[in-house]
Formats: sequence, structure tokens, C-alpha cells
Amino acid sequence: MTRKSQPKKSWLFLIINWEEKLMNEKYSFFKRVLNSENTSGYVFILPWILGFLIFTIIPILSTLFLSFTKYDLLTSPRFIGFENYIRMFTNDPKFIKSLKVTFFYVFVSVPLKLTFALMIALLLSYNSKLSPLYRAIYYIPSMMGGSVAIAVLWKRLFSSDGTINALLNLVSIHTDISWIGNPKTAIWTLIILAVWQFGSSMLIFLAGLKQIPVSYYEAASIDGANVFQRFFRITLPLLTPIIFFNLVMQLINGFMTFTQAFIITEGGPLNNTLFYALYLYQRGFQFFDMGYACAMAWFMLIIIAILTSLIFKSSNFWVYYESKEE
Amino acid sequence: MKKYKTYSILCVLFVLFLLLGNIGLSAEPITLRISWWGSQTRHDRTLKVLELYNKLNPNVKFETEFGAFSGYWDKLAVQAAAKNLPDIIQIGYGYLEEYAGRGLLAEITPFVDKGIISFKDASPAIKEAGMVEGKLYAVCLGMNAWAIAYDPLAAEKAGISISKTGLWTWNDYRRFAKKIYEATGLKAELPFMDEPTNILAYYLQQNGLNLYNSTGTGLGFSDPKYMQEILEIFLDLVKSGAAPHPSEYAVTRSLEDSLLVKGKAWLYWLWSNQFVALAQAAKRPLSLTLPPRGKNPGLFLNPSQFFVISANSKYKEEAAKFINFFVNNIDANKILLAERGVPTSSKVRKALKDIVDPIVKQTFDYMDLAARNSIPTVPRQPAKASEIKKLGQEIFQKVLYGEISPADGAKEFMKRGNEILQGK
Repeated sequence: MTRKSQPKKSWLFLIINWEEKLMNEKYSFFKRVLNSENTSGYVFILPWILGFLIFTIIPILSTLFLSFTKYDLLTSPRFIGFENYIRMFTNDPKFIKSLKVTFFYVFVSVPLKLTFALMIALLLSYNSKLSPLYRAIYYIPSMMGGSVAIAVLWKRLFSSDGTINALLNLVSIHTDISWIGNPKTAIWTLIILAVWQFGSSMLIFLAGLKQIPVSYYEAASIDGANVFQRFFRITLPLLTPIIFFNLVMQLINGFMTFTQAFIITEGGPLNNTLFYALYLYQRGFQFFDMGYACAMAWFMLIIIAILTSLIFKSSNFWVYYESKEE
Repeated sequence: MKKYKTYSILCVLFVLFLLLGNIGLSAEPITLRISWWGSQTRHDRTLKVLELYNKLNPNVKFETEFGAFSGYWDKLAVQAAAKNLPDIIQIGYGYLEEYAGRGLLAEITPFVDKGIISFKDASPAIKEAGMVEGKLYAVCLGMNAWAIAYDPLAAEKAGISISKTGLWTWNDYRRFAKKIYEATGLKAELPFMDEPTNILAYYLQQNGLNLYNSTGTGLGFSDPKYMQEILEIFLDLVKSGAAPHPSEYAVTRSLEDSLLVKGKAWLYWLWSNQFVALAQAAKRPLSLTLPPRGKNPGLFLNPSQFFVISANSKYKEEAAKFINFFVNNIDANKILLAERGVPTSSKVRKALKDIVDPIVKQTFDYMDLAARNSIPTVPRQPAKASEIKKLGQEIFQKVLYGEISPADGAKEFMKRGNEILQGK
């Protein structure tokens, strides 16, 4: 076979040819690859890998490109360098406002939620016949919390003629303020909603609590430690890895909050609940400013990365791993 | 044995598949995707018309995408970017230029030439309204104008008579609102709180100005006093309790959810065609009247919505047939009952007048009135209009919440509005 004739062959033929060659020359090698456990493993996760590449990696990389362009969704993007990033900090008061709102929300709601989750987990860790039932019941809100239906419910609860005001009237506190419409209270309705979804953190705490050996508590009570001492000296230190995990996860979740603000408050009143993700959405899909929105997304990524790495760094000082005992 | 069974099932399935394919081929089924925004009344009526069309043309099926106004354009923009726009799209005047200019819409002229879409019963201005740079892209579905709906019983109780021809001034508006609030406890709703630039535009047009300049590169007025004046009027009403606190509007309310419908207000600003849905939801007699008058007419006759055909539609001709049916068929319009605005076809209008639906008659009468109190042209809506509307909403909220003074609010609107329009 001359080299010249090769390009005329179809690729399929070439592959078959190559396969045959492999089979003949290194039959054992080919068979080994095909039959190895790794290969079947890769084949099994292939759908996920493909999905990850096509639906996650490619979009992420294209937003990086788009963040350097002016792109209005309808016409093709135009390269403008760092202009979007510069505009964020020099000429966009709403961007700064959305950062402030988001930071306030995250730094208030996450600690509240974790404290609440830990308290409920402590209560539920006492064994009783009903505790599996309670566990299920308390978990329900966090399964529904991010949904549109709950957001609509929240809107009804806290509106001027909503359930909260009706209940307050019952105990003769007469008010008809719209909790969602009042610039001071609006963000708190969203924080309450976040805290209400404590279920998943609670379950993780509960699992952590179960892992603490009972013998520690027994020894402590024999030595005369009271409830609080046992909690602060035994439970809390041994729970720090779990707190650490929950903190990181909830922090990331908090920064990405969107649905609640989008449906309940629409960013208002006076932009007091204009979360970062919501403003990003408005920029991209309502003002047709997709390039800018992509730049915002990348900036958010940087913020989350910095905060997470700070928490990881700080974990040396406060997270206690039993296995690291000296 | 097991294998044999599987094969036989597969064979049967295959034959069925072929048969189905054959049936399909003989009837040439077509699925048209259609999208619109609106109130529940509109959804119900439009779905009924689609059903009717399907009965008359069994091969045409519809895939509907409908919802509220907020969110509609977000979704459409994404579909446009994905080259996946529905075949038939309801579009607003403010968006026509943007979509047509980017080549997303199909030209309709060939279908008009072939006689598939007929404009012969409509005034030439109707056809012109759907043109962008001399090319026809859109078919107007009806005309509307800004209006005030009010509860005549509440006014009567307070001993106030509001002329149907709207012979009231802005001062009357303030006085009446306060008087009725004192007598009945009912409030005058704040105007267009999800799009308060409407009320600003109305006030500007009364003063012979426009919200946007003719090229769409800046605001059409340079003196902040107009905006300050309009803000002062409504701030005064909010402070005195005659208008609801702005926090009532922090969450967009649907028409069905308005304070008027809930029996807490007596006056509501709206687009005239929305009156049909409002009156239906309110379940009590309401009247329509002109907004307070000024030096010049402040209204304009607005092409309320259009149907357009997307450029990537596979069934443009079928879509055109349906649009013609929607606009010119009398049975269809007897279902729609002018909910999208006063119909453009004179024949349809005549037929509807015979039905004498009292609510429809009210909107028809109002449109006659509005026509006599309108500026002759339709003001231009630049591509950045959506961002200006958001800014207007922000400023109105800030002022009515009492965060900043009307004067400062007006100045801020002028500064940032011009920045947005100039593209910074």
C-alpha cells in the first residue's frame, strides 16, 4: 500500500484497520484495556462527563469570553476588553448596592441558620419514639424552600393584608404595614425564609452528633460537668468539622440566592433586596447586557473563591479533627 | 421463546409506527408555536379562539406559551438568542423596532400581496403602525390609550361628580381624591407603579414635550421641573393618605390583585383595553374617564399589541393565515371581545357593537373620546426604554417612600436617564 492512496480511504475503514492491527499485534494489551475495571468505570461515568463538559465547562468558558465583550443576546458579541469590569466599580451604583445587600444577607442569614439548625439537631438527638417523625417534618421546609410555590406563599404571608398581620391583629397589635414593601423589613422576610430552610444543615449536624461517643459525656458527668460545660467542652469542639462543612456550603448557597428575591420582592423596595444574582439576571435578560452580566458572574466567582479559601485557612485555628490528636 | 416474543412486539411496534407516519403524512399536521402575555381573561379568551381555529382547520395545532407581562421579554430574549422563537409572537410597540431591526422577524408584505392577510377594513395608519423603516413586520391587534377607571358609587357618596369627558384638572384630581378618601376611606391608586414613566410621559405630552428625543439618544426634556411637579402631586396624595403607601406596590400586583378589585380603592390608572379584565375581576360597576387635562392633549392612540411571525418559522404562511383569522374573523373577535384593544377592522367593530356587551361598549366609547384628546403621533420607544422604565420606577419609589425630595428625584432621573440613553 503506497502512502498516496491512503487519504482516499474512509475514516471508518482506517479505524477498522487500526483495530485489527491492535488485535493482532498486541492482542493481550487491547483485551486488557477493554476488560479492565477502570475502562468500565469510565464508560459508566461517560454520560456524566459528557454532560459536565458540554453543559458546564463549555458554558463557563464562554462566559469568561463574553465577559470581555458587549453582547446583547440578539447580535453577535463585540470585544471591549476590561470595560465591563471597570464599569462595575466606577459607574454602577446598583452594582455596589447589590454587593452590600448580598453580603448583609449572607452574613446574617448563614450564622442564624446554622445556630438554629444546631439547636434543633440537639433537641432531636435525644432518642424518643417520635424523633424519626420530627426529623422528617423538620426537613420538609428545606426540600421546598427554594421553590416558587413557597416564594409565592411568603409573599402572601407578609403582605399588608397577609397572614402575619392577621395574626398580629388577633393579639391586638394593629398593623397594616406591608412587611415586603417596607424597605427596613423586606430583607428580614427573606432572612427568615432562609433560616426556615435549616433542614439539610440540621440533618448533617444530627449525623455529627450521633458520632460523638457517649463515653465522653459519661466521663464528664461523673467529673461533675453540667449541661453547658458538656456542650461547650465536648459537643462543640467535636462538631467543628461539621460546622466547617455546613458553613462553607451555606455561604456559597447564600451568595447565589435568586428565586426568593426574584419572586417575593423583585429586588425592591428601593433595591433593598437586590441580590447579586438577581441584578445579574436583570442585567443579562432584562437590559440585554449579557457581557456585563457575565463579568458580574466571574466577579462573584472570585468573591466566593476568596471567602472560601479564607475559611479554609482559618480552619487551622478552630476546626478540631480527632485523628490529628498529638 | 422469550426472544421470539421480543421480536414480535418490536415488529408490531414497527408496523404501528409506519401506520402512524402514514396518517400523519396524509393530513399534514402542523404545530404552530404561539406566545403572548396578559391577564387571565386574555388567556381564557385566546385559548378559546385557538380551539375554534383548530376546529375549522383540524391539521393546525397550537403549542402555547403565555404568562404575565413581567418575565415575558426575558424569555423571548433567550429564545431569540437560541434562534428558537415561537412562530407567532405577540409583541409590544416598544419592542418592535428592536426585534425587526435585528432580523428576527419575517416580512409580512408577501402575505398581504397574496391576500392571506387583509388590511382592507382597517385604516392606513394601522398598517403603518406595524412598519419598521418602510417594511411591514407586524399586524396590529387593537388600539388602546391610557385611561382612568373609577368606582362611580364612591364618587357619588362623597358628593362628587366626575365628568365622563374628563373635564378635570390636576388640582381637581388632588381635591377629589382627598374628599373621597375622607368620605369613604377609599384611596386613589398610584399610577402605573410598575411603569411610572407612563405618567411622566403623559404629563410631558400635556406640556408639548416627549419622554424621549426623536433619535432615542436622550430624554426629550431638559427641565427637571416637569418630573418634580408630577412627583409632588402623588407625594402629596400619599402623605395625606388619599393614595396608598408605595409599599403596596413593592410587589407587582396583577390586575386581579389590585386594591380597586379588593374594594380598597376607587380609582385605577390603566391601559383602556385592560378595563375589560379589570371590570370582570372587580364585579361592580366601574366607569372610564380621561386622565386630568393640561394645556395640550397628553394621550396618544397606541397600537396595543402586534402579532409578528418569527424569521425562523417553518410555517410562515400558516402563521399568516391564523393572524388574519385572529384580526378579521368576526366569530373569533366575538370571543376576544376587544380585550386586546379596540379592533382594527371596521367590520369587526360594527359586529361587536351589535353584541352590546356593556363593558366593551364602555371601552369603545372611551376610545372615541381618547381619539379626540390625543397627540397625532405615536411617541418613539428607544431600545433602552426598558432600562429607563426601571430607573423611573426606582425614582418614583425613592420619592414616594420619602427617601429623597421630588426635586432631587427629578434631577437624578434626568442625569442617569440621559447617561443610559447615551450608552455611557
